[in-house]
This record gives sequence, structure tokens and C-alpha cells, in this order.
Amino acid sequence: MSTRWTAARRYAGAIYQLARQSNAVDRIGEELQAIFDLTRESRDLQRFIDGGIGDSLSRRSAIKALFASRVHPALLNLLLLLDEKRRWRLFPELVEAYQRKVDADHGIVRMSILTAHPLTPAQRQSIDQRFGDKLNRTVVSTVRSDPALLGGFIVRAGDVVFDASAASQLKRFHRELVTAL
Amino acid sequence: MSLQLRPEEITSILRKQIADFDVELDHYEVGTVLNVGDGIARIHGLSHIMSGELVDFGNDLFGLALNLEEDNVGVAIFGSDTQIVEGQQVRRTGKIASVPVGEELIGRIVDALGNPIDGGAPLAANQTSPIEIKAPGIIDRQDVKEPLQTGIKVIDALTPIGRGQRELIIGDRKTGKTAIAIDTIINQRGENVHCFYVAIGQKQSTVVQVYEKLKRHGAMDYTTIISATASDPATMQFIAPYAGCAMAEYFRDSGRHALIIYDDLTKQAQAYRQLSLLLRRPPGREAFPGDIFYLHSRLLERAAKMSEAKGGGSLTALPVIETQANDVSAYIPTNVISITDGQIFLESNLFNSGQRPAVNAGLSVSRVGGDAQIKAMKQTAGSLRLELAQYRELAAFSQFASDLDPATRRQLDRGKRLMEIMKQPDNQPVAVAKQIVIIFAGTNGLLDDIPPDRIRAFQTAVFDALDATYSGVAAAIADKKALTDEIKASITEMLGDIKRQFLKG
Repeated sequence: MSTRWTAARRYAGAIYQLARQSNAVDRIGEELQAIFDLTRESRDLQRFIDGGIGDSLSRRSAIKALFASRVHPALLNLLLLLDEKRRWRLFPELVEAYQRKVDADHGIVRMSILTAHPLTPAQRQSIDQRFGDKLNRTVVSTVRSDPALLGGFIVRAGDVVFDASAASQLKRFHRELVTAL
Repeated sequence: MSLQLRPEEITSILRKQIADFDVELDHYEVGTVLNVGDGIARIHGLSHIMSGELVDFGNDLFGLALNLEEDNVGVAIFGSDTQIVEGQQVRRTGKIASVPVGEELIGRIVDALGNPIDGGAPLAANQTSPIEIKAPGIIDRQDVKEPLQTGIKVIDALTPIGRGQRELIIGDRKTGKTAIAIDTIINQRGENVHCFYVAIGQKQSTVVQVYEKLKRHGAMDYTTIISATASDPATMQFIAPYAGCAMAEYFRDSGRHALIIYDDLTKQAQAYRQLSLLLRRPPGREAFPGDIFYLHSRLLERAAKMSEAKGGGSLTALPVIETQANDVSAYIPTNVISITDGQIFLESNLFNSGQRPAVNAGLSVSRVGGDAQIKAMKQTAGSLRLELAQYRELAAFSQFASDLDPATRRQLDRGKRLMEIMKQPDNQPVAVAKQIVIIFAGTNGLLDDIPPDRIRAFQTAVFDALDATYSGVAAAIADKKALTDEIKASITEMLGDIKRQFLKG
């Protein structure tokens, strides 16, 4: 996994620089995400990517036919390069690495919120607001709920976890009582 | 302990815990296990982790962050890696590996993390210390000046060890390295020296034997055993010396004296080599990693004699190194020889010919110990070294010569008797005054008329006399700490008396 990451970051870095030069960072980002979603939805495309279908020339023209009119020229070239180097497998990591570069430049932090009960919009806003201030970043959050938390929430931003769930507090309480005895 | 708790006490403890428990936002940094095997886990995430930090795998399993790479962290696991699965979440602890320190450790057997493994009560130590501490600086130290008596004649006379010194014990397997270390511990009884025996990569049965022997001689009253046996993970064997050192430093830094034995550092180097290779660090000579010298130097540098301003405590280290076929020029032996302040070199052919302890007096040195010998010992041991050197030379030469001139023959006879004096059985430490008397006798030719095979019986007679009839002589030496003409005369007179009786009977 780690070598794939390293390679994916190189490709992502290159396309990101090109995107900035041509002022198309957001557009290319969206298109990358769209292609990524497409590969998950279309089984035919999946099989095409996994390789084996067609020789290199016909693959080239297939990619061109599929994407030429729809995506940014730099992105099209990236796809052709990936195909030529047989590096399609890096694509998911590449999309993520690209996204991270965009986030880092825009001061965005991706945050996942896990709650016991679904949040009201006001609650969610308040959490986003608080953590945004704390981390000094713009927060883009996703919310999931898991009744096993019993109450409270767990927020994860990158590698950092903020745990304010009832389940964890109870677990900690249990540990403290046991060690006290 | 928990059995003695009364219900009211439990209730009050619980009430206090409940009252004090505050609901707080728990925040920590996490990573995910990418892969795990051979005691090493690679972890993605943990982006702010520090080198040497502890990592929490949950279920009381911890690891040590050793490699910080661009997109993963290499962690050595303190325990079995079989419970760890790919994708598992791990946490940073923000702490460096620490062990409990304090008086509570005395008499215990603990593992490399300071957990008791002797089946006794949990440790009540309320103080911990990080295992990797920087060694004391120049200003905090002073010269090694007090002797640490091993009770072994050949060592106390020829390669004396001072408090705060690092003296290497080196030799092949089965040459009595551990025996010297154990005897030294046993001889610290009543000397106010706290002893630490770190067993690295040994058989569990050997550790039990050491424990039993120490207990039998009452040495467990002031000794702690830190055990990382061959069946423990390499990570434990790697950190055991540092853990033991941290425990011993507690005594050094509180103005007391401590002795630590690393038995043996060869195994620790091998454990570290295993970790390094698994972490894909580049191998060097004998496949050891590049920082193998620093591994031992930073450990042994922590042995020190502290300045009076720092309490004047000391930590003496006796590292043990096992050689292969007496080869002291291998990588690890040369490293450790160059770090330490001298070495006691044990030889298997001496051992097998019955010369035990099998110390090679020619190759063994002590670079600072001379200052730590009492004057009386210095006065007697000076000529001993010379006589033994001459004897070795002549002994090798005389094997080819059939008839020898009387002077040579006399020198050979003298040497043979001196070698006989140097013999000493296991676990029978000899007080320094007795050592001085018998060596004085040997080097001054007072034993020349006793047959070599009766030397040891005569020695016993002398020691018995020093305990009983002539206890005044022993007291005078211990008191004056030097051999005045008066004392010399009384020793000669005493030996004459004993000899007359001995040769008659």
C-alpha cells in the first residue's frame, strides 16, 4: 500500500501543478471524482481498467473517445499516461491525494462526525463551527450515526480523534473504578 | 491486598471516584495498521508521532515507534503480534517508554517494562522514569575513587573495579562470566550497594538458577532482576538494559550506590539487529545496523560517579559480552571494549585446566580502578602483576627446556603458587584484608616452602586464623588501609606461626 501511495502522490502532484497553471483546480478535481465514481458504477469501465481489453492503440482511442470531449485536456493526458504505464490501479489513491493537496492549499479540513443520534442542522453547524475555530481551518464534515455510542459524538479530523461519546466515557469510568480498587 | 478491604472502604473509594470523575473531551491521534508480522507493525497515520514514543494497540498491548517514514511508521511491538489485525486502529500515547522506579523494586523480578513476573504483589511504585535518559554531563561527575569490592582475589588485585566504573566481562561461553557477576553481587552484602541483574536473551531456567543462588546467599535483599529471556520478543530484549539502567539510576541520583550487570549485551545487539533488519534499516558489518555502537555507548555512558553537588551517588556497570572462539576482534566485542573502562578477559583453556576464575591476567585491564584500590592492596598487587607476567613468559619457555637454572626454577615455583592463590571457588567472596594477607604472603616468598597442592589448604588455615586468633591483623589492615612496616611485620609473624603448625600437622 505504501509504495502505491508514494507513486500516486507523484502523479497527483504533477496534475495538480498543471491544474493550477491552467486555473482549473476545481474543475479537474470534480472530473477526477466523477471518473472515480464512474469506475465504481460501470462494470464495463471497471473491466476495461483492470486491463486485458484491447491492445494499447485501441485502448488509447477508446479513452480518447470516452473522455476527450468531457474532461480537461491535461486530465485526458493523465489518463492516457496512466494507461500507457499500466498504472490504473493507482487511480483511487491518486484522486484522494489530489483532494488532499487541494484541501491543504485551501485550508480545508475533512472531518467525519459519528453520533449516537442524528444531528439537527443547528447542532451540526455548531460542531463544525467549534472545531473549525479550534483547528483554525474551514471544516467540511460528513455525518454518520451509530447507536452503539449511546450518546455524544466522536469527531475525526485527519489522524486526530476527539472522543466525547458516552460509550468511551463509561469505558474510562469503568477502568478508573477497577484500578482504584 | 484487595482481600483486606472492608465494604465501607470500597464504598468510600467508589464515592470518591464517582465524585471526581469529570466528563471531558478525550482527544488523541490515531493510525491504522497496514501490516504486521515478526513483531513489527507498519502503521499509516499517526502524523505527529515522535521517535521512541509508545503506541497503544489496545488490550494493554503497546509498541515503540522506531521508524518514522514518509507515509508510515514502523513500530516494534512489546508482546505477541498475533492479536493485531490489519486495519486495526492504534493510538498515540504522547509518552516515552517508562518503567517504575523506587525502593519497591528491591528483591523483585520484573520484565523489561517493569511488570513483576515473580508471582508477587503488584508493584506499588508511584514513581516512573523514562528508559532512555541522557547520561550525566561532565560537570555532574567526579573521578571514580571508591572501590567496589568483587570479593574475587584476582579481580580485586589485578583489575580493581571502582564505583561508577564500566568494566567489561568478556569470554567464550562456559568460562564463568555470569559466576563473576553473581559473586560480585553476593559480595555487596552490607556494602549499601543496590544491585540490578539484567538477563537478556537467556534461558528462563538460567534466570531461575541465578535467582535461587542470590536468594540462598541473602543477596535478593538488595537485588532486582530484570528478565527478558530468549522467549520474550526482541523488542523486550532490546529495551531491557535501558529499563534496568533507569531503575538503577534512581539510586545513583539519590546519592546512593548501585551496581548493574547486563548479561549479556551480545544478545541485546542481536535483538536490535533483528529489529533493525525487519524495519529495513540498511545492514552494515556482520549485518548490524549503523547505530549499533551508539546502542551500547549511550547505555554504558549512564554509569557514573556523581559529583558531591549531585549527591555523590554512583552507578557501576558490568556488561557481559560472549565471544566466539576467544575472538575479541569481532565487531561487538571491539565496540564494547572501546566503550568500557577496562575488561576482564576469561579464557576457556584456563577454565578447563582448572584455573578458576579463568581470568587471563595479561589481557585484563582496568583503566580507572587503580585509583579505587585501597593503598594496602596497591602495595601488594603491584609486584603480583609483575610476577605473574614473568611466570607466564617462563612457563611457555620452560616447556621446551629440560634443565633450568635455580633462579628460573624459583621463579616458576613462585608463579605456580601465585596461580594457585588466584584460584577461588564459586560464591566464596573474600574480604579485602584477607586478600591482602594471602597475596602479600605469595609475592614475598612466604609460601615458597609449602607444596603447591597444599597452598589452598594453607590459605584456608590463614583465613580461619584471621577470623579468630589474629583478627587484630585483619582489623589493623581494614583500619589503616595501608601496609605499614608494623603491619607487615605482624603479618609475617602470623604467617610464620600458622606455617609451623600447618607443616607439622
